[in-house]
Amino acid sequence: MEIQNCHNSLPTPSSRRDFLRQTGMSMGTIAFGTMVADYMVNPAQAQITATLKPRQAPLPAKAKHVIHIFAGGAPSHLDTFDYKPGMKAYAEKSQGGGGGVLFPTPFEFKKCGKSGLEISEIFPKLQEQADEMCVIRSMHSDIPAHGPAAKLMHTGSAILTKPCLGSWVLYGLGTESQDLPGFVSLGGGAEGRQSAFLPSIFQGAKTSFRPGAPSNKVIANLQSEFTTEEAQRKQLDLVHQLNSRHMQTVQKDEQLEARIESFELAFRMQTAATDAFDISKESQKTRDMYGKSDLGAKLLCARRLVERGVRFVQVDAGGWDHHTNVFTSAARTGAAIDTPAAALIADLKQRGLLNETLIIWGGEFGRTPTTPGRVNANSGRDHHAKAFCCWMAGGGVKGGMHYGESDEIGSQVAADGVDIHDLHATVLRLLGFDHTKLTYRYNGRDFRLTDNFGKVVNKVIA
Amino acid sequence: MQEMAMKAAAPTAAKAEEKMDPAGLEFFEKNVRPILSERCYKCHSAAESTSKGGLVLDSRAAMLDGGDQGPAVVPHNLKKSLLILSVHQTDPELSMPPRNKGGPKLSDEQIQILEKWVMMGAPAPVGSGAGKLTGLSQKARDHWAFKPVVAPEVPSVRNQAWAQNEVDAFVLQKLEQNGLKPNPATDGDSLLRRLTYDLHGMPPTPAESDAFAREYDAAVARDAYAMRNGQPARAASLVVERVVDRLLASPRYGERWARHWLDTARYSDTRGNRRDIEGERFPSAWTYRDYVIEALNSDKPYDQFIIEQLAADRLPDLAKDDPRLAALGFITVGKRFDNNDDTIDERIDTTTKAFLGLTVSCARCHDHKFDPIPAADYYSLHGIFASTSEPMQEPVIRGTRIGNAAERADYDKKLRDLVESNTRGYYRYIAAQLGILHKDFAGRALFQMAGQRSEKGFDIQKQYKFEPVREVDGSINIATNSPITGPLARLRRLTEAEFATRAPEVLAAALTDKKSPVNPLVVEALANLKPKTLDDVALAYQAMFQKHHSRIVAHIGLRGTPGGAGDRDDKALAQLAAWPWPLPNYEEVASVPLVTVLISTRSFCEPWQSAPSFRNGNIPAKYFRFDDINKLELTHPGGPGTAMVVADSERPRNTNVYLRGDRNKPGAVAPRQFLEILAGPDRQPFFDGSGRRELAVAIASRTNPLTARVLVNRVWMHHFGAGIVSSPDDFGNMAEKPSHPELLDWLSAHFVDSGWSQKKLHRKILTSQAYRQSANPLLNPLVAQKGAVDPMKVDAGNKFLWRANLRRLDFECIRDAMIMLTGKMDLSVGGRPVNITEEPISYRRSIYGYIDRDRLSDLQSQFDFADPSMANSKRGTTIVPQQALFFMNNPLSVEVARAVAARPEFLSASSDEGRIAVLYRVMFQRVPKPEEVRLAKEFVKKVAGYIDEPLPAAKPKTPVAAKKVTKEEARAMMNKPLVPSTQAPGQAATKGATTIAGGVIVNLGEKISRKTPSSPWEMLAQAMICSNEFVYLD
Repeated sequence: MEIQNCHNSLPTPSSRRDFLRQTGMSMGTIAFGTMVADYMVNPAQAQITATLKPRQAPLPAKAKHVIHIFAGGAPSHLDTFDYKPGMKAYAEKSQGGGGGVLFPTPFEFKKCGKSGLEISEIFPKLQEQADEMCVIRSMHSDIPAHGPAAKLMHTGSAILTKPCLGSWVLYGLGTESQDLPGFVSLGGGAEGRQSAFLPSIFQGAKTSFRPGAPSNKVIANLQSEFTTEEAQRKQLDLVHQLNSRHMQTVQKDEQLEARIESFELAFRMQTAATDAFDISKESQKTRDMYGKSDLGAKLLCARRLVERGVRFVQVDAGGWDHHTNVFTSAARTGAAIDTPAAALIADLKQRGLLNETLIIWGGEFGRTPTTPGRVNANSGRDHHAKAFCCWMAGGGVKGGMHYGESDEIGSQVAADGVDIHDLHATVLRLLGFDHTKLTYRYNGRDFRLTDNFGKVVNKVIA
Repeated sequence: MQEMAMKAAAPTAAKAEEKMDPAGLEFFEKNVRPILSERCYKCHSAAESTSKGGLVLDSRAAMLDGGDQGPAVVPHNLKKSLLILSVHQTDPELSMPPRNKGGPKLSDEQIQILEKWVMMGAPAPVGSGAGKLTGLSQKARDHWAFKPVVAPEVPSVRNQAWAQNEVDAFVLQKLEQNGLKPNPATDGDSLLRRLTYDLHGMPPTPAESDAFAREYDAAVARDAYAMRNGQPARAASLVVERVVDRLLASPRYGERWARHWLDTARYSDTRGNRRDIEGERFPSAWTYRDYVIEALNSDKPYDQFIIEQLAADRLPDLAKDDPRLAALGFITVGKRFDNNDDTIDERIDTTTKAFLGLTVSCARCHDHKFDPIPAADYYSLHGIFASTSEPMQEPVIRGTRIGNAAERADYDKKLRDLVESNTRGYYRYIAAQLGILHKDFAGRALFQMAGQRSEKGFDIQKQYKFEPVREVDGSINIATNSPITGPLARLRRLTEAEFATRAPEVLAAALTDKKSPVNPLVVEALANLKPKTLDDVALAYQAMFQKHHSRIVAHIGLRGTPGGAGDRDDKALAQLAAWPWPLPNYEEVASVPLVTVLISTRSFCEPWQSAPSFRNGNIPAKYFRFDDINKLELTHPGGPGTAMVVADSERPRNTNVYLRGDRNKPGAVAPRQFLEILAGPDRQPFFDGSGRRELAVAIASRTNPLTARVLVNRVWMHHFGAGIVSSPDDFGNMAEKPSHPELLDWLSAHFVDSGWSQKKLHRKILTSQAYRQSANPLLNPLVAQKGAVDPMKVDAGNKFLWRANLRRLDFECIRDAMIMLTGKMDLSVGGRPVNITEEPISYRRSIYGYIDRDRLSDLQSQFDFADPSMANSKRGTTIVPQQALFFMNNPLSVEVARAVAARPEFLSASSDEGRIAVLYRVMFQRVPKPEEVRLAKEFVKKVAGYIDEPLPAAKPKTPVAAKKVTKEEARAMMNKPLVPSTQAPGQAATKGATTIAGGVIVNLGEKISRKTPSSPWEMLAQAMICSNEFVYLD
């Protein structure tokens, strides 16, 4: 855009609208997150400018948004989505090597929907959505420790500080939302929202969303505690007037313009975010559908955000570290996500958003097929990374299918293994990216989410 | 870049200089190439620009040259041709295409073709060379940055009057060569603002602005007069020189420039690899930060600065408490990894980037792809850092106790008390654990031997009725050579069937073994035993422990008394009591540097063998209050600082090259020595200890082509907003060409010749006319004249410096300016870190902020704080709406506005114009223009209309009552007060006192009052804070 009449003093704009008109600016014409040329993008690759402007993915794709429900603590694949009926016969048989005894799932599984996808009884509501879901039963990794494994799941690296999936997606696609952050984190650790070496415009906005808490405090400094909105509007108009005068002395500069727009976005965000995070604005029926739990509120909020153009929503839905009492604990943790997740799928579908919204549910690894000691009501499962599961729905994923197999006791991958890099590659492909080409140059190297690894699981793509 | 690498000729091309038989070549193209192309080139082709394992298969030369593991093809020799061996897939380590993802094995037919071809002598196009990406080429060696620095002649330029010093001559030469003209100088107000921010990281005070403007304007007038008369115009330069000297002499200078260096040195107060908050912290990283500030303020010669940071422990005439020891924090404040090789890698990376601008870490798994750094050189440095250790106890250094006498006494007493209670806690803890162990010894030992997680283990647990206790059960070590459990260990080897018959003989042998003598009390307990099962033995042990339990507890009581040693006790009993946990005497436990060792690692009690592990939050709080010690060390103003030192290992060792970075695949030994490209062909291995000192000297050498250039470039970058080399931490072949190579070399030579003085370097750069230019492009003569050359088109990026760059202030500058404007800034230098991002606000400078590398505060990351996980000398300048929200709504912003509108000169101003002038002077360091005065007046009037109306009650934005963290609450948070009760409230905050709550540092003090809404004048002031002018330097 051009700033007109830079040589002479501008007629003083009398209102914000005037100001924007005079400076040729209007909502959305400026990418507020423009970067100055400091950040180099590999010239050999498709040029990605580091802005938040929405852009077309290079490859055809359906998914435009992602809701990543991170089931931290590592859910047991054997009690959720990977049914091993054959294990009953081997109950309490020793695995040898002090590894405990085999522990068949205490839950019943059901063949659900038209597809007959097997889902545990701890998810009665999700069972109804089976035909939308694609379960990957052959996830595997090498790291059975929560901290590094969670880092690996979010960033593709267990050790180094690297950008998370959401940041890469925002970097690749920008955002459609004009008045909300493009990447919102609803709880969870820093690894789930960090942009690391990617410019900070791509980091997830940290929120403290809780049902019932005032929605105008969800983002730090979201609203003033010292003045009214009207007075602040006047104040911002003055800021713009000061800025336009300042710009005459330094000439057109992308950064200065971007900063002006960032204040407008912030101002809009005060209202827009307060509104987006206020789930009490939903009908009672919708709220009932998601349930009364915290997770219900979070997923309902996630839907509101996606609906408003937010590109990536990270949801923390942990509590799966069931070393003991699988029978009661897994049922409880499962129940907490069952209603909300099923509601999210159904709700997105009825609003026509499911096709363009990819839902991912999964933890950082799985759990052992064995339990220490005996099989009884207190039995639990330990960490296990060699085989586990996750599911996706919407966003161009084939529904009502499972992909890959673990062996007969769910201990190792038996067919079509999918590691975390493969999962990331697939998610990026669903969003329209070749994961080997979405790169960012930093410290003399082109970095990718998938490092030197990753292969797309084409069979799950519709 | 790939083009560049492909042109680089491989040194071994000569091998392939044989004439190829055309029939052989045809065989290759027809039969072999398709196989390679289909199955191998995806990973091993220069044309595909991929060379996994350092191997490409495009040409004969490349195949003969091979990859990391050696030649891929040896003509006529199937057994030595790795290509053939790998396609057979008999060795899992050497299977191609890769078994898991490379698709199916080659068909037998295909393998036969390859074998036939090898036996034919492997005819193939010779190729111009290996073609793999490698920096070990002559071209890469010829890179400008590896050439010695030779000071070029200062060029003569046409516009002699403009050039004030040598810097200008070089800058002007480039401008003239490109048909450009420099911008006129900026005005005095903006020049002083620029200088003060650049050297102090803060704006000038109104008094400083006024004084400078008068003097400078007069000097500019004199210069104009001189120039008209063809005389040298030096008056303005002299004024600038004086102000530069004033700024350099202030401690604010070191605080500002230390922050730049700390970005490079990836400074953090935390380790970055631990989840438990207490073990995560470096309690004394701040002494390194303070060392850097001091070094800059005292203008320590840069070569000395380097040597101290890498090898202060090896300085001559070093006192035990020498403050220079803190310099070693450069090595130790980095991110820690569970794998020591990763920690070493981090240190190699930081050292080479920071001092040499080289990415040596790229050579960890293979030779550097672009720079002449073989993997062997990486492992030469690896050996140096692997031969460097961190002592358990950090030395206390002098001059680090900042608190007053009362605070020091308070600290000493608290520390003494805590050390005592923790030491006693250790004995109480051991006694309590032994109580559990002795009572159920039989069951627990059998449980341990059967495998705690086995079916049998479960049955034993049922039978003996005990609850597993991880710390206890995990410590039961049943070993043949143990004087306590030796007999049990031998008996457990018997099968159930043979037990009854063979046990007496085995037991007798064990009890009389001279090599591993058994404790007499154990002998006594087992001597007459006729065990039928292992259970009988375990029960006999249990009976023995119970018999002696009360005596053991009494013995522990003796050990745990100062001076009470307990050495006089029965030796056999003492040995029994010290199993399985060691029982050092009181003084030994109390001398362990509790904070750094006890809590942070498994090595608790390392000097005495095994130890209970307190990981995973298992610290038994009933006995230990380690976190209190940690808290005390981190937050108490009266404590001393320690230095995070390193030392050379007693037995330094060389590292073998890890093939492909894998420590399990050792290659040739890499002697500890400097990089070949910098040390030259006569390089000698290091012999002095680890070699760290020699490394430091080699880096800090005046003949090192990189050291001075890299530093000079960073200083230039921070003053001009762009480096002469755009990548400050990478001067290698991947770096962009320098914009002013001659200038860089001249400055580097000048820098070294003037005793590596950074202050002199600043003076040279800042007194140039180039620095003084206006940022406004419209002022450029060529723009104004609308000449043929439009600088905005020819050099839009301002590479040649025809104007000043517009620069956004970084996080520290913005925050410090705001803190300064509150009028409460605490200008004390050094000390423990404070919280600089949350309320209660700390009024210390931002350099004193606590930095958590894994949980960087959102505010810092939103404002592009340098990622402290690796060297990062250049900050980003992104713009996110959260920054705007900070200026609009954060209480600090409001506090600034309130403070500015409460200044005496503001209150005493008699008119609106006067008040507006004060705001402009204080916040923008200039006089407002008439239009700005009008805007401000209108705004105040307009907003007053809103403010005077009563606030609508239903609005969510109604100012709420202040939430205060009162001193009392703060005390409650921390159990015990840190500040003596005589101290007045509020004083604690300005002193930088802190506590820890919920795992974060919390400043003592009050939150900003929310009771009164902002007045129109305050809102005006805040609008100025929000404006671009506040955060940009022009």
